[in-house]
Amino acid sequence: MIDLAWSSLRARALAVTLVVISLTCALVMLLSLERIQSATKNGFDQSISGVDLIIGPRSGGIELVLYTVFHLGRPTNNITMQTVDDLATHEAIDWLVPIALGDSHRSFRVIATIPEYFDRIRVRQNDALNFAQGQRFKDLNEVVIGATVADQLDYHIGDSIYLTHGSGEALGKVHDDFAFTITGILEPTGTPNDQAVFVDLKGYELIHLGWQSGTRAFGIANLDLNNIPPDALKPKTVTAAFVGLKSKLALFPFVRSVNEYPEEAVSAIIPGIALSELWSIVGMVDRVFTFLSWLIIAISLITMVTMTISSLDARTREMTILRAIGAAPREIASLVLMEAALIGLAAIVCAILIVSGSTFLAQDILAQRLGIAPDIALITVDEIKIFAMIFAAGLASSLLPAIMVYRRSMQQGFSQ
Amino acid sequence: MIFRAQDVRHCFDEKTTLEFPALAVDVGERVLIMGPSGCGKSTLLNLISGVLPLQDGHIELLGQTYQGLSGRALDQLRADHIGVIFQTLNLIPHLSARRNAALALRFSPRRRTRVEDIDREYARLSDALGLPAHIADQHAKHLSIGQQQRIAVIRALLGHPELILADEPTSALDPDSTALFMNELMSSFDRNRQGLIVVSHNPDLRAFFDTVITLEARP
Repeated sequence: MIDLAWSSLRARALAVTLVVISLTCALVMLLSLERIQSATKNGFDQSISGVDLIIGPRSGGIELVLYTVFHLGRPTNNITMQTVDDLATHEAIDWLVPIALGDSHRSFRVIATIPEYFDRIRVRQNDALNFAQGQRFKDLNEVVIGATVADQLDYHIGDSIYLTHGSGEALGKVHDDFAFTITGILEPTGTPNDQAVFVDLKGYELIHLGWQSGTRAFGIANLDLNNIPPDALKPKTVTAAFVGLKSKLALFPFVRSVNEYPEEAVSAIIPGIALSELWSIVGMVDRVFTFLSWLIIAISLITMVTMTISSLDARTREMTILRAIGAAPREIASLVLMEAALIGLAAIVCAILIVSGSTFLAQDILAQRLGIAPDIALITVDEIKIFAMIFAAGLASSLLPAIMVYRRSMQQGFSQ
Repeated sequence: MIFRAQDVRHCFDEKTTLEFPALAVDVGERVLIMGPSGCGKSTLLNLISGVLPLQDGHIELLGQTYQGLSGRALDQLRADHIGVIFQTLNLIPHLSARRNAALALRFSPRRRTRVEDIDREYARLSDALGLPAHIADQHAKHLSIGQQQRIAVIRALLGHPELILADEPTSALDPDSTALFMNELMSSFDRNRQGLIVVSHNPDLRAFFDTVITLEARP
């Protein structure tokens, strides 16, 4: 019977091809969304790794992650360096890297931190932040930039840049009395680090000397860097601190002790938990898209059924002939299902080839530009489940014309 | 005796009931059923072929009575023992002439074993019916009506079913072609093994048949 189904489909090649194309498009959309979604989720979860805790002013975990990891929004509060220093002496702590946020450069966020940042902060599956060119900052007036910053602003090692007070070019005033020299450019990581400008906390403190409430009270242009006493540039406050613990077992007791810290309202959050909370919000958009692609698949299947039903009248003869040579109504109905199965299979195979082919071709671009590394596997178990569902849905929806054919063959006899 | 029908009645609704005269077909016998349109020829044909379930009366084919047979069993009986020729549009348009003819064997392993070499049997019948050899691989939709009717005859004869059933097989043909077609049909039909039932309203066909049964117009 399969040869009859095939021959019948070929006789309606144009309509069948269009249906296969529309079903393929819907499947490609669903499949790419599925792959991008899982890759984005991975990328999202891996935007910071190697950090056990983030300590910041008392606030929600999502908020803290948003501005410390994704450099989005602005910190509502700072924490005092005294508290940070005090917590750093806690026996559970392996390392502590403070960061101060607030300035920007040409709309890229500035992260003021200590050189140890580049040793401690990991991305993806525990990859270190590697330098594409140059090295980390050593002096007050040195700056490291992320890959995207270098790329978009066409910056090179040795270039001089100014920082802007506050984030957002229009609002802030430029710290034009102190220039930083680029000493390092990071490799692309696909994380917010690509869009960041890193300076030493002391340099950051320096350019803010003499600033009060966002305006400059006195300039530092003529300051002699060698004459500044080392303690003078120790920041009074920072935005947050990344913390690594000696043992994961100490995690919850330490979180509790931070949250109960008597001198200042600080809190410690576990990045993984905050990230998954955040994802449950961000992931909404994904779910909407997924819903839309299922909708398109439903529409394509309806198109297929419509095509089959509208072809039935033209094929009454075919059915009668098959009845005459001894085909049972059930066998004739199965012909309709077979055709649906062939259409479904064709669309699924095309979709897998298209998506796998294009992910394979685009994987470098995706990884560098968007920081996502989609699976280049031909097909995953989840996808097989999805396809099985769609295939079953196709067959199920073709039951309608199949039943119509069955009843017609039963009742009609050979009358013309 | 190949086929027998007796006291067959069929009712469509409470008002319309058709009664059919007794009908018997022996080996080698050619029976013509005549009657005006609307007299129930199609219904009789559907009953004989087992497409319509038998409501009342007795029908048997090769000793097998239809009464109590499932639809599936009737389908198999038809596949194995009956070759059907329609008025027109006998063929599936997107299949070649040869594949259309070979459809006859698709649902009948029994008929399949009777044909040693489908291509050779097709060629033999196609010769006997005066069909050019080159049309074997042409799609049915490209054939003339006369050619299509002859392919339908080949399909009905392939695998030697015991009963050949034809519904107005010449109604689409002009008188000259009709005579030619009937001659060819009669000469390819195997008088030692098969019986033939033709339904028609064309009185000119009488000459080709051993028995003529006339159905009366519905009251």
